[in-house]
Amino acid sequence: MGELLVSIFIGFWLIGTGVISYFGLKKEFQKEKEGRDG
Amino acid sequence: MNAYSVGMFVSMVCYLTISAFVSRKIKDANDFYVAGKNAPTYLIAGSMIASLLGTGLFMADAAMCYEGNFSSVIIMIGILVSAYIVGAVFFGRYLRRSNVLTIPEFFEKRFCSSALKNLASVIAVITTAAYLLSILQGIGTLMSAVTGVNYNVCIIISLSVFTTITIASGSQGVLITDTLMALVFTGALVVSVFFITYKFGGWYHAVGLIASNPLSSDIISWGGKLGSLYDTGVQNLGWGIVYGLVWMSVGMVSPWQASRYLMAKNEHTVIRSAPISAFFIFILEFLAGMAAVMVNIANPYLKDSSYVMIWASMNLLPKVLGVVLLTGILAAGISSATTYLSLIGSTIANDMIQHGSRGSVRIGRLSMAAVSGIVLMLAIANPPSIRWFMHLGGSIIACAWMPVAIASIFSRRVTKAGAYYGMLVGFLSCFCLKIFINIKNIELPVYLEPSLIGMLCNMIVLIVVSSLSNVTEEEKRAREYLLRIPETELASCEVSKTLRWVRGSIVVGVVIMFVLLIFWVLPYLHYKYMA
Repeated sequence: MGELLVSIFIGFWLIGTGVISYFGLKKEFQKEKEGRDG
Repeated sequence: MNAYSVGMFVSMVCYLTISAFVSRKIKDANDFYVAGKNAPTYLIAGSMIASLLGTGLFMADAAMCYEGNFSSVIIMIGILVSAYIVGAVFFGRYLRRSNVLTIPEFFEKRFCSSALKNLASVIAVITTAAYLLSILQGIGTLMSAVTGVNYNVCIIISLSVFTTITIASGSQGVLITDTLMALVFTGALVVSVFFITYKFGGWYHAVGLIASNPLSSDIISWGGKLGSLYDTGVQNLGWGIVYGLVWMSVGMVSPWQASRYLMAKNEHTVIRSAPISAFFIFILEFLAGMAAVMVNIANPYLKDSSYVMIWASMNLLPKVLGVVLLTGILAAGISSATTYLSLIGSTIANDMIQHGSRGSVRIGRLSMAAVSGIVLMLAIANPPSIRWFMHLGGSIIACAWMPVAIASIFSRRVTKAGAYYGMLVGFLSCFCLKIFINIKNIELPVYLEPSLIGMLCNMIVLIVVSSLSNVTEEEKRAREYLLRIPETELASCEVSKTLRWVRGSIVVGVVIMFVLLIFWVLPYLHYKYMA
Protein backbone atom coordinates (compact mmCIF):
# COMPACT_ATOMS: atom_id res chain seq x y z
CA MET A 1 0.00 0.00 0.00
CA GLY A 2 3.06 2.26 0.18
CA GLU A 3 2.68 2.76 -3.59
CA LEU A 4 -0.72 4.36 -2.95
CA LEU A 5 0.82 6.75 -0.41
CA VAL A 6 3.62 7.66 -2.84
CA SER A 7 1.18 8.61 -5.60
CA ILE A 8 -1.08 10.53 -3.19
CA PHE A 9 1.96 12.34 -1.79
CA ILE A 10 3.09 13.38 -5.28
CA GLY A 11 -0.43 14.47 -6.24
CA PHE A 12 -0.95 16.53 -3.09
CA TRP A 13 2.53 18.03 -3.32
CA LEU A 14 1.76 19.30 -6.81
CA ILE A 15 -1.74 20.44 -5.88
CA GLY A 16 -0.30 22.24 -2.82
CA THR A 17 2.39 24.08 -4.78
CA GLY A 18 -0.25 24.98 -7.39
CA VAL A 19 -2.58 26.39 -4.71
CA ILE A 20 0.23 28.41 -3.06
CA SER A 21 1.29 29.79 -6.45
CA TYR A 22 -2.27 30.66 -7.44
CA PHE A 23 -3.12 32.55 -4.25
CA GLY A 24 0.33 34.19 -4.12
CA LEU A 25 -0.07 35.50 -7.64
CA LYS A 26 -3.69 36.52 -7.20
CA LYS A 27 -2.88 38.46 -4.04
CA GLU A 28 -0.03 40.28 -5.74
CA PHE A 29 -2.13 41.26 -8.75
CA GLN A 30 -4.91 42.49 -6.44
CA LYS A 31 -2.50 44.48 -4.27
CA GLU A 32 -0.94 46.12 -7.29
CA LYS A 33 -4.35 46.97 -8.76
CA GLU A 34 -5.59 48.42 -5.47
CA GLY A 35 -2.36 50.40 -5.07
CA ARG A 36 -2.78 51.96 -8.50
CA ASP A 37 -6.53 52.58 -8.11
CA GLY A 38 -6.17 54.06 -4.64
CA MET B 1 26.52 2.22 -41.88
CA ASN B 2 23.37 0.74 -40.26
CA ALA B 3 19.82 2.15 -40.24
CA TYR B 4 20.34 3.71 -36.77
CA SER B 5 23.44 5.61 -37.96
CA VAL B 6 21.56 6.88 -41.02
CA GLY B 7 18.66 8.08 -38.81
CA MET B 8 21.01 9.92 -36.47
CA PHE B 9 22.96 11.45 -39.35
CA VAL B 10 19.82 12.67 -41.13
CA SER B 11 18.42 14.20 -37.91
CA MET B 12 21.69 16.06 -37.24
CA VAL B 13 21.69 17.46 -40.80
CA CYS B 14 18.08 18.65 -40.25
CA TYR B 15 18.97 20.49 -37.02
CA LEU B 16 22.00 22.10 -38.69
CA THR B 17 19.85 23.26 -41.63
CA ILE B 18 17.27 24.81 -39.31
CA SER B 19 19.95 26.59 -37.29
CA ALA B 20 21.56 27.93 -40.51
CA PHE B 21 18.17 29.34 -41.49
CA VAL B 22 17.59 30.92 -38.05
CA SER B 23 21.12 32.38 -37.91
CA ARG B 24 20.17 34.85 -40.67
CA LYS B 25 17.75 36.51 -38.26
CA ILE B 26 20.36 37.30 -35.59
CA LYS B 27 20.91 41.06 -35.56
CA ASP B 28 22.27 41.93 -32.11
CA ALA B 29 23.21 40.64 -28.63
CA ASN B 30 19.56 40.69 -27.57
CA ASP B 31 18.63 38.28 -30.39
CA PHE B 32 21.69 36.12 -29.81
CA TYR B 33 21.48 35.75 -26.04
CA VAL B 34 17.81 36.12 -25.12
CA ALA B 35 16.00 35.48 -28.44
CA GLY B 36 14.96 39.14 -28.66
CA LYS B 37 12.94 38.68 -25.40
CA ASN B 38 10.02 37.79 -27.60
CA ALA B 39 9.55 34.01 -27.29
CA PRO B 40 5.98 32.69 -27.05
CA THR B 41 4.71 30.20 -24.44
CA TYR B 42 5.16 27.05 -26.53
CA LEU B 43 8.84 27.82 -27.31
CA ILE B 44 9.64 28.56 -23.65
CA ALA B 45 7.91 25.36 -22.50
CA GLY B 46 9.51 23.30 -25.31
CA SER B 47 12.97 24.58 -24.50
CA MET B 48 12.53 24.00 -20.75
CA ILE B 49 11.46 20.41 -21.38
CA ALA B 50 14.28 19.79 -23.87
CA SER B 51 17.01 21.34 -21.73
CA LEU B 52 16.11 19.26 -18.64
CA LEU B 53 15.40 15.96 -20.36
CA GLY B 54 18.66 14.91 -21.95
CA THR B 55 20.72 11.79 -21.65
CA GLY B 56 20.01 12.06 -17.91
CA LEU B 57 16.44 10.87 -18.54
CA PHE B 58 17.13 8.24 -21.18
CA MET B 59 20.30 6.83 -19.64
CA ALA B 60 20.76 7.73 -15.95
CA ASP B 61 17.12 7.80 -14.72
CA ALA B 62 16.12 4.90 -16.97
CA ALA B 63 19.05 2.89 -15.56
CA MET B 64 17.88 3.57 -11.99
CA CYS B 65 14.36 2.40 -12.83
CA TYR B 66 15.67 -0.72 -14.56
CA GLU B 67 17.78 -1.55 -11.48
CA GLY B 68 14.74 -1.31 -9.20
CA ASN B 69 14.41 2.30 -8.02
CA PHE B 70 11.31 3.33 -9.94
CA SER B 71 9.53 4.68 -6.87
CA SER B 72 12.56 6.76 -5.79
CA VAL B 73 12.90 8.27 -9.27
CA ILE B 74 9.19 9.03 -9.60
CA ILE B 75 8.99 10.76 -6.19
CA MET B 76 12.09 12.80 -7.09
CA ILE B 77 10.50 13.87 -10.39
CA GLY B 78 7.16 14.59 -8.71
CA ILE B 79 8.84 17.06 -6.37
CA LEU B 80 11.12 18.41 -9.11
CA VAL B 81 8.34 19.37 -11.53
CA SER B 82 6.68 21.56 -8.90
CA ALA B 83 9.74 23.81 -9.39
CA TYR B 84 8.37 24.91 -12.74
CA ILE B 85 5.22 26.31 -11.17
CA VAL B 86 6.76 27.74 -7.99
CA GLY B 87 9.88 28.89 -9.85
CA ALA B 88 7.94 30.77 -12.54
CA VAL B 89 5.63 32.51 -10.04
CA PHE B 90 8.12 33.29 -7.25
CA PHE B 91 11.35 33.84 -9.22
CA GLY B 92 11.02 33.65 -13.00
CA ARG B 93 8.78 36.67 -13.54
CA TYR B 94 10.98 38.87 -11.31
CA LEU B 95 13.97 37.72 -13.32
CA ARG B 96 12.17 38.60 -16.57
CA ARG B 97 11.22 41.98 -15.05
CA SER B 98 14.83 42.82 -14.20
CA ASN B 99 15.57 43.24 -17.92
CA VAL B 100 18.99 41.56 -17.91
CA LEU B 101 20.75 39.15 -20.28
CA THR B 102 22.00 36.63 -17.70
CA ILE B 103 21.25 35.52 -14.12
CA PRO B 104 24.64 36.70 -12.73
CA GLU B 105 23.69 40.13 -14.13
CA PHE B 106 20.40 39.85 -12.20
CA PHE B 107 22.35 39.36 -8.95
CA GLU B 108 24.55 42.34 -9.81
CA LYS B 109 21.57 44.59 -10.51
CA ARG B 110 19.62 43.46 -7.43
CA PHE B 111 22.51 43.80 -4.95
CA CYS B 112 24.44 46.54 -6.78
CA SER B 113 27.55 44.36 -6.55
CA SER B 114 29.85 43.38 -9.40
CA ALA B 115 31.74 41.04 -7.00
CA LEU B 116 28.54 39.02 -6.60
CA LYS B 117 28.09 38.93 -10.37
CA ASN B 118 31.66 37.65 -10.84
CA LEU B 119 31.16 34.91 -8.24
CA ALA B 120 27.81 33.87 -9.76
CA SER B 121 29.42 33.81 -13.24
CA VAL B 122 32.24 31.51 -12.14
CA ILE B 123 29.73 29.17 -10.50
CA ALA B 124 27.51 29.25 -13.61
CA VAL B 125 30.40 28.39 -15.93
CA ILE B 126 31.74 25.55 -13.71
CA THR B 127 28.35 23.91 -13.14
CA THR B 128 27.15 24.31 -16.71
CA ALA B 129 30.41 22.92 -18.07
CA ALA B 130 30.15 19.92 -15.69
CA TYR B 131 26.63 19.32 -16.91
CA LEU B 132 27.67 19.75 -20.56
CA LEU B 133 30.41 17.18 -20.03
CA SER B 134 27.91 14.65 -18.66
CA ILE B 135 25.62 15.24 -21.64
CA LEU B 136 28.48 14.83 -24.12
CA GLN B 137 29.56 11.60 -22.44
CA GLY B 138 25.99 10.35 -22.70
CA ILE B 139 25.69 11.27 -26.40
CA GLY B 140 29.09 9.65 -27.13
CA THR B 141 28.11 6.45 -25.31
CA LEU B 142 24.78 6.32 -27.16
CA MET B 143 26.21 6.96 -30.63
CA SER B 144 29.11 4.59 -30.13
CA ALA B 145 26.87 1.76 -28.89
CA VAL B 146 24.44 2.21 -31.75
CA THR B 147 26.75 2.84 -34.69
CA GLY B 148 29.78 0.82 -33.59
CA VAL B 149 31.96 3.86 -34.36
CA ASN B 150 34.75 4.76 -31.92
CA TYR B 151 33.56 6.75 -28.85
CA ASN B 152 35.99 9.61 -29.52
CA VAL B 153 34.82 9.99 -33.13
CA CYS B 154 31.22 10.05 -31.92
CA ILE B 155 31.81 12.82 -29.39
CA ILE B 156 33.72 14.87 -31.98
CA ILE B 157 30.80 14.57 -34.44
CA SER B 158 28.10 15.38 -31.86
CA LEU B 159 30.12 18.23 -30.35
CA SER B 160 30.66 19.72 -33.82
CA VAL B 161 26.90 19.59 -34.46
CA PHE B 162 25.72 21.21 -31.23
CA THR B 163 28.56 23.75 -31.23
CA THR B 164 27.72 24.78 -34.80
CA ILE B 165 24.00 25.11 -33.96
CA THR B 166 24.73 27.23 -30.89
CA ILE B 167 27.42 29.44 -32.42
CA ALA B 168 25.45 30.07 -35.61
CA SER B 169 21.98 30.75 -34.30
CA GLY B 170 22.36 31.61 -30.58
CA SER B 171 19.37 31.44 -28.25
CA GLN B 172 16.96 32.09 -31.11
CA GLY B 173 18.06 28.88 -32.84
CA VAL B 174 18.41 26.97 -29.58
CA LEU B 175 14.77 27.75 -28.67
CA ILE B 176 13.48 26.55 -32.05
CA THR B 177 15.67 23.44 -32.34
CA ASP B 178 15.02 22.61 -28.65
CA THR B 179 11.27 22.70 -29.20
CA LEU B 180 11.53 20.59 -32.38
CA MET B 181 13.77 18.09 -30.58
CA ALA B 182 11.32 17.99 -27.64
CA LEU B 183 8.55 17.12 -30.11
CA VAL B 184 10.76 14.43 -31.69
CA PHE B 185 11.70 12.69 -28.45
CA THR B 186 8.24 13.06 -26.92
CA GLY B 187 6.60 11.46 -29.95
CA ALA B 188 9.28 8.77 -30.20
CA LEU B 189 9.03 7.89 -26.52
CA VAL B 190 5.23 7.76 -26.37
CA VAL B 191 4.92 5.52 -29.44
CA SER B 192 7.84 3.30 -28.37
CA VAL B 193 6.55 2.78 -24.83
CA PHE B 194 3.16 1.68 -26.01
CA PHE B 195 4.80 -0.59 -28.58
CA ILE B 196 7.03 -2.16 -25.90
CA THR B 197 4.04 -2.77 -23.63
CA TYR B 198 2.04 -4.16 -26.59
CA LYS B 199 4.84 -6.68 -27.10
CA PHE B 200 4.32 -7.88 -23.51
CA GLY B 201 0.54 -8.20 -23.94
CA GLY B 202 -0.54 -4.63 -23.19
CA TRP B 203 0.20 -2.15 -20.40
CA TYR B 204 -1.65 -3.92 -17.57
CA HIS B 205 -0.39 -7.35 -18.54
CA ALA B 206 3.20 -6.04 -18.62
CA VAL B 207 2.79 -4.48 -15.14
CA GLY B 208 1.28 -7.80 -14.05
CA LEU B 209 4.31 -9.76 -15.34
CA ILE B 210 6.61 -7.55 -13.25
CA ALA B 211 4.37 -7.50 -10.16
CA SER B 212 3.53 -11.20 -10.01
CA ASN B 213 7.11 -12.41 -10.41
CA PRO B 214 8.76 -12.59 -6.94
CA LEU B 215 12.14 -11.84 -8.55
CA SER B 216 10.98 -8.57 -10.11
CA SER B 217 8.00 -7.36 -8.06
CA ASP B 218 10.16 -5.12 -5.82
CA ILE B 219 11.34 -3.12 -8.83
CA ILE B 220 8.13 -1.07 -8.90
CA SER B 221 7.21 -1.39 -5.22
CA TRP B 222 7.16 1.73 -3.02
CA GLY B 223 10.52 0.89 -1.42
CA GLY B 224 12.23 -0.38 -4.57
CA LYS B 225 14.65 -3.28 -4.84
CA LEU B 226 16.55 -3.33 -1.56
CA GLY B 227 20.30 -3.04 -1.90
CA SER B 228 20.35 -1.42 -5.35
CA LEU B 229 20.39 2.07 -3.80
CA TYR B 230 20.04 1.69 -0.02
CA ASP B 231 19.25 -1.29 2.19
CA THR B 232 15.77 -0.23 3.31
CA GLY B 233 12.68 1.03 1.50
CA VAL B 234 12.44 4.09 3.77
CA GLN B 235 16.00 5.10 2.85
CA ASN B 236 15.22 4.65 -0.85
CA LEU B 237 12.17 6.89 -0.52
CA GLY B 238 14.25 9.33 1.54
CA TRP B 239 16.69 9.51 -1.38
CA GLY B 240 13.80 10.38 -3.71
CA ILE B 241 12.54 13.14 -1.41
CA VAL B 242 16.00 14.63 -0.72
CA TYR B 243 17.03 14.62 -4.38
CA GLY B 244 13.57 15.87 -5.33
CA LEU B 245 14.05 18.91 -3.07
CA VAL B 246 17.57 19.51 -4.40
CA TRP B 247 16.41 19.27 -8.01
CA MET B 248 13.40 21.42 -7.24
CA SER B 249 15.85 24.13 -6.18
CA VAL B 250 17.79 23.54 -9.38
CA GLY B 251 14.63 23.77 -11.48
CA MET B 252 13.68 27.06 -9.83
CA VAL B 253 16.91 29.01 -10.24
CA SER B 254 19.42 27.09 -12.37
CA PRO B 255 20.81 28.99 -15.36
CA TRP B 256 19.72 26.27 -17.80
CA GLN B 257 16.10 26.55 -16.65
CA ALA B 258 15.57 30.09 -15.35
CA SER B 259 17.43 31.64 -18.31
CA ARG B 260 14.48 30.56 -20.50
CA TYR B 261 12.38 33.12 -18.61
CA LEU B 262 14.66 35.90 -19.86
CA MET B 263 13.67 35.00 -23.42
CA ALA B 264 9.92 35.10 -22.75
CA LYS B 265 7.71 37.65 -24.51
CA ASN B 266 6.34 38.88 -21.17
CA GLU B 267 5.72 37.76 -17.58
CA HIS B 268 2.47 36.05 -18.53
CA THR B 269 4.41 33.83 -20.94
CA VAL B 270 6.77 32.86 -18.10
CA ILE B 271 3.86 31.72 -15.92
CA ARG B 272 1.84 30.04 -18.68
CA SER B 273 4.79 27.90 -19.79
CA ALA B 274 5.06 26.40 -16.27
CA PRO B 275 2.17 23.88 -16.16
CA ILE B 276 3.01 22.66 -19.68
CA SER B 277 6.65 21.99 -18.73
CA ALA B 278 5.68 20.36 -15.41
CA PHE B 279 3.12 18.03 -17.00
CA PHE B 280 5.25 16.87 -19.93
CA ILE B 281 8.43 16.40 -17.91
CA PHE B 282 6.61 14.21 -15.40
CA ILE B 283 4.79 12.15 -18.02
CA LEU B 284 7.94 11.59 -20.08
CA GLU B 285 9.91 10.52 -17.00
CA PHE B 286 7.07 8.19 -15.99
CA LEU B 287 6.91 6.60 -19.45
CA ALA B 288 10.69 6.23 -19.79
CA GLY B 289 10.91 4.80 -16.25
CA MET B 290 8.13 2.29 -16.90
CA ALA B 291 9.68 1.28 -20.25
CA ALA B 292 13.01 0.67 -18.51
CA VAL B 293 11.26 -1.38 -15.80
CA MET B 294 9.53 -3.51 -18.46
CA VAL B 295 12.81 -4.34 -20.16
CA ASN B 296 13.33 -6.58 -17.09
CA ILE B 297 10.70 -8.93 -18.55
CA ALA B 298 12.77 -9.54 -21.68
CA ASN B 299 16.28 -9.10 -20.30
CA PRO B 300 16.90 -8.77 -16.55
CA TYR B 301 20.67 -9.23 -16.94
CA LEU B 302 21.95 -6.16 -18.80
CA LYS B 303 25.63 -5.63 -17.97
CA ASP B 304 25.44 -1.85 -18.07
CA SER B 305 21.99 -0.61 -17.10
CA SER B 306 22.56 2.85 -18.63
CA TYR B 307 22.16 1.10 -22.02
CA VAL B 308 18.62 -0.04 -21.15
CA MET B 309 16.77 2.28 -23.56
CA ILE B 310 19.35 1.67 -26.28
CA TRP B 311 18.88 -2.09 -25.82
CA ALA B 312 15.10 -1.67 -25.94
CA SER B 313 15.33 0.39 -29.15
CA MET B 314 17.46 -2.22 -30.88
CA ASN B 315 15.81 -5.39 -29.55
CA LEU B 316 12.19 -4.72 -28.63
CA LEU B 317 11.06 -2.32 -31.34
CA PRO B 318 10.65 -2.71 -35.09
CA LYS B 319 13.67 -1.21 -36.86
CA VAL B 320 11.89 1.95 -38.03
CA LEU B 321 10.59 2.71 -34.55
CA GLY B 322 13.96 1.85 -33.01
CA VAL B 323 15.60 4.38 -35.33
CA VAL B 324 13.01 6.99 -34.33
CA LEU B 325 13.52 6.37 -30.59
CA LEU B 326 17.31 6.47 -30.83
CA THR B 327 17.08 9.63 -32.92
CA GLY B 328 14.80 11.02 -30.20
CA ILE B 329 17.33 10.14 -27.46
CA LEU B 330 20.06 11.82 -29.52
CA ALA B 331 17.80 14.87 -29.95
CA ALA B 332 17.30 15.01 -26.16
CA GLY B 333 21.08 15.01 -25.64
CA ILE B 334 21.83 17.59 -28.34
CA SER B 335 19.03 19.91 -27.23
CA SER B 336 20.38 19.98 -23.66
CA ALA B 337 23.93 20.49 -24.92
CA THR B 338 22.95 23.51 -27.06
CA THR B 339 21.27 25.12 -24.03
CA TYR B 340 24.32 24.66 -21.81
CA LEU B 341 26.79 25.84 -24.42
CA SER B 342 24.79 28.96 -25.22
CA LEU B 343 24.62 29.74 -21.49
CA ILE B 344 28.37 29.41 -21.04
CA GLY B 345 29.02 31.71 -24.01
CA SER B 346 26.50 34.22 -22.75
CA THR B 347 27.95 34.25 -19.21
CA ILE B 348 31.55 34.64 -20.40
CA ALA B 349 30.75 37.36 -22.94
CA ASN B 350 28.32 39.40 -20.86
CA ASP B 351 29.42 38.87 -17.26
CA MET B 352 33.11 38.05 -17.39
CA ILE B 353 34.43 40.05 -20.33
CA GLN B 354 32.16 42.87 -21.49
CA HIS B 355 28.58 44.10 -21.76
CA GLY B 356 26.09 44.39 -24.65
CA SER B 357 27.11 45.58 -28.12
CA ARG B 358 27.89 43.71 -31.30
CA GLY B 359 31.34 42.74 -29.96
CA SER B 360 29.63 40.75 -27.25
CA VAL B 361 28.18 38.34 -29.86
CA ARG B 362 31.65 37.76 -31.32
CA ILE B 363 33.13 37.15 -27.86
CA GLY B 364 30.21 34.84 -27.00
CA ARG B 365 30.84 32.78 -30.15
CA LEU B 366 34.59 32.56 -29.45
CA SER B 367 33.89 31.56 -25.82
CA MET B 368 31.54 28.82 -26.95
CA ALA B 369 34.18 27.45 -29.35
CA ALA B 370 36.85 27.56 -26.61
CA VAL B 371 34.64 25.86 -24.01
CA SER B 372 33.66 23.20 -26.57
CA GLY B 373 37.36 22.45 -27.08
CA ILE B 374 37.97 22.09 -23.31
CA VAL B 375 34.88 19.92 -22.80
CA LEU B 376 35.95 17.76 -25.76
CA MET B 377 39.36 17.12 -24.18
CA LEU B 378 37.73 16.23 -20.85
CA ALA B 379 35.23 13.93 -22.58
CA ILE B 380 38.05 12.15 -24.45
CA ALA B 381 39.67 11.51 -21.06
CA ASN B 382 36.23 9.97 -20.36
CA PRO B 383 35.85 10.35 -16.61
CA PRO B 384 33.41 7.71 -15.34
CA SER B 385 29.85 8.19 -14.15
CA ILE B 386 27.56 10.46 -16.13
CA ARG B 387 25.19 10.69 -13.17
CA TRP B 388 27.88 11.97 -10.79
CA PHE B 389 28.77 14.93 -13.02
CA MET B 390 25.11 15.69 -13.57
CA HIS B 391 24.42 15.74 -9.83
CA LEU B 392 27.55 17.77 -9.15
CA GLY B 393 26.38 20.58 -11.45
CA GLY B 394 22.84 20.52 -10.08
CA SER B 395 23.88 20.32 -6.44
CA ILE B 396 26.26 23.27 -6.67
CA ILE B 397 23.60 25.49 -8.23
CA ALA B 398 21.07 24.52 -5.56
CA CYS B 399 23.55 25.27 -2.75
CA ALA B 400 25.06 28.45 -4.14
CA TRP B 401 22.17 30.18 -5.86
CA MET B 402 18.81 29.05 -4.51
CA PRO B 403 18.77 30.70 -1.03
CA VAL B 404 20.25 33.93 -2.42
CA ALA B 405 17.84 34.03 -5.39
CA ILE B 406 14.75 33.59 -3.21
CA ALA B 407 16.02 36.03 -0.55
CA SER B 408 16.74 38.59 -3.27
CA ILE B 409 13.00 38.83 -3.92
CA PHE B 410 11.37 38.11 -0.57
CA SER B 411 13.78 39.41 2.07
CA ARG B 412 14.01 43.06 3.03
CA ARG B 413 17.02 42.40 5.26
CA VAL B 414 19.38 40.52 2.95
CA THR B 415 22.45 42.58 2.06
CA LYS B 416 25.05 42.36 -0.69
CA ALA B 417 27.62 41.04 1.81
CA GLY B 418 25.17 38.40 3.07
CA ALA B 419 24.35 37.35 -0.50
CA TYR B 420 28.04 37.18 -1.51
CA TYR B 421 29.27 35.15 1.46
CA GLY B 422 26.15 32.96 1.49
CA MET B 423 26.72 32.09 -2.17
CA LEU B 424 30.45 31.51 -1.66
CA VAL B 425 30.01 29.27 1.40
CA GLY B 426 27.14 27.35 -0.24
CA PHE B 427 29.29 26.70 -3.32
CA LEU B 428 32.48 25.74 -1.47
CA SER B 429 30.81 23.53 1.14
CA CYS B 430 28.91 21.51 -1.46
CA PHE B 431 31.77 21.31 -3.97
CA CYS B 432 34.40 20.27 -1.41
CA LEU B 433 32.10 17.75 0.31
CA LYS B 434 31.11 16.15 -3.00
CA ILE B 435 34.73 15.80 -4.11
CA PHE B 436 35.86 14.54 -0.67
CA ILE B 437 33.10 11.93 -0.49
CA ASN B 438 33.87 10.75 -4.01
CA ILE B 439 37.63 10.48 -3.45
CA LYS B 440 37.30 8.74 -0.09
CA ASN B 441 34.38 6.63 -1.36
CA ILE B 442 32.34 7.41 1.76
CA GLU B 443 28.67 6.47 1.94
CA LEU B 444 26.67 9.04 3.93
CA PRO B 445 23.12 8.58 5.19
CA VAL B 446 20.64 10.11 2.79
CA TYR B 447 19.77 13.02 5.14
CA LEU B 448 23.44 14.11 5.12
CA GLU B 449 23.43 14.70 1.36
CA PRO B 450 26.06 17.43 0.64
CA SER B 451 23.48 19.49 -1.29
CA LEU B 452 21.31 19.83 1.82
CA ILE B 453 24.34 20.72 3.94
CA GLY B 454 25.44 23.27 1.33
CA MET B 455 22.01 24.93 1.21
CA LEU B 456 21.88 25.04 5.02
CA CYS B 457 25.38 26.60 5.21
CA ASN B 458 24.36 29.18 2.59
CA MET B 459 21.22 30.12 4.55
CA ILE B 460 23.06 30.41 7.88
CA VAL B 461 25.80 32.61 6.42
CA LEU B 462 23.23 34.66 4.48
CA ILE B 463 21.27 35.40 7.68
CA VAL B 464 24.28 36.01 9.96
CA VAL B 465 26.24 38.25 7.57
CA SER B 466 23.09 40.17 6.55
CA SER B 467 22.32 40.83 10.22
CA LEU B 468 25.85 42.25 10.67
CA SER B 469 25.61 44.59 7.68
CA ASN B 470 23.11 47.17 6.42
CA VAL B 471 20.91 47.32 3.36
CA THR B 472 21.93 50.35 1.29
CA GLU B 473 19.45 52.77 -0.28
CA GLU B 474 20.31 51.59 -3.80
CA GLU B 475 19.73 47.93 -2.82
CA LYS B 476 16.38 48.95 -1.36
CA ARG B 477 15.46 50.75 -4.59
CA ALA B 478 16.58 47.77 -6.69
CA ARG B 479 14.27 45.46 -4.72
CA GLU B 480 11.36 47.91 -4.87
CA TYR B 481 11.78 48.06 -8.65
CA LEU B 482 11.56 44.26 -8.84
CA LEU B 483 8.41 44.14 -6.73
CA ARG B 484 6.52 46.65 -8.88
CA ILE B 485 4.47 44.94 -11.60
CA PRO B 486 4.96 46.86 -14.87
CA GLU B 487 1.89 48.60 -16.26
CA THR B 488 2.16 46.54 -19.46
CA GLU B 489 1.61 43.32 -17.46
CA LEU B 490 -1.62 44.48 -15.82
CA ALA B 491 -4.18 44.23 -18.65
CA SER B 492 -7.12 42.58 -16.88
CA CYS B 493 -7.88 40.05 -19.65
CA GLU B 494 -4.23 38.87 -19.62
CA VAL B 495 -4.21 38.69 -15.80
CA SER B 496 -7.35 36.52 -15.67
CA LYS B 497 -6.00 34.30 -18.47
CA THR B 498 -2.74 33.82 -16.57
CA LEU B 499 -4.60 33.04 -13.32
CA ARG B 500 -6.54 30.38 -15.26
CA TRP B 501 -3.21 28.83 -16.33
CA VAL B 502 -2.03 28.73 -12.71
CA ARG B 503 -5.32 27.05 -11.74
CA GLY B 504 -4.41 24.62 -14.53
CA SER B 505 -1.27 23.71 -12.59
CA ILE B 506 -3.52 22.46 -9.75
CA VAL B 507 -5.30 20.31 -12.34
CA VAL B 508 -1.87 19.01 -13.43
CA GLY B 509 -1.37 17.70 -9.87
CA VAL B 510 -4.74 15.94 -9.92
CA VAL B 511 -4.11 14.42 -13.37
CA ILE B 512 -0.64 13.20 -12.39
CA MET B 513 -2.03 11.56 -9.24
CA PHE B 514 -4.66 9.71 -11.30
CA VAL B 515 -2.08 8.70 -13.94
CA LEU B 516 0.02 7.13 -11.18
CA LEU B 517 -3.00 5.41 -9.62
CA ILE B 518 -4.40 4.05 -12.89
CA PHE B 519 -1.19 3.08 -14.65
CA TRP B 520 1.02 2.04 -11.73
CA VAL B 521 -0.52 1.59 -8.29
CA LEU B 522 -3.83 -0.17 -8.99
CA PRO B 523 -2.53 -2.68 -11.56
CA TYR B 524 0.55 -3.34 -9.41
CA LEU B 525 -1.48 -4.01 -6.25
CA HIS B 526 -4.01 -6.06 -8.22
CA TYR B 527 -1.42 -8.41 -9.74
CA LYS B 528 0.77 -8.60 -6.64
CA TYR B 529 -1.92 -9.43 -4.07
CA MET B 530 -5.05 -10.54 -5.89
CA ALA B 531 -4.16 -12.27 -9.12
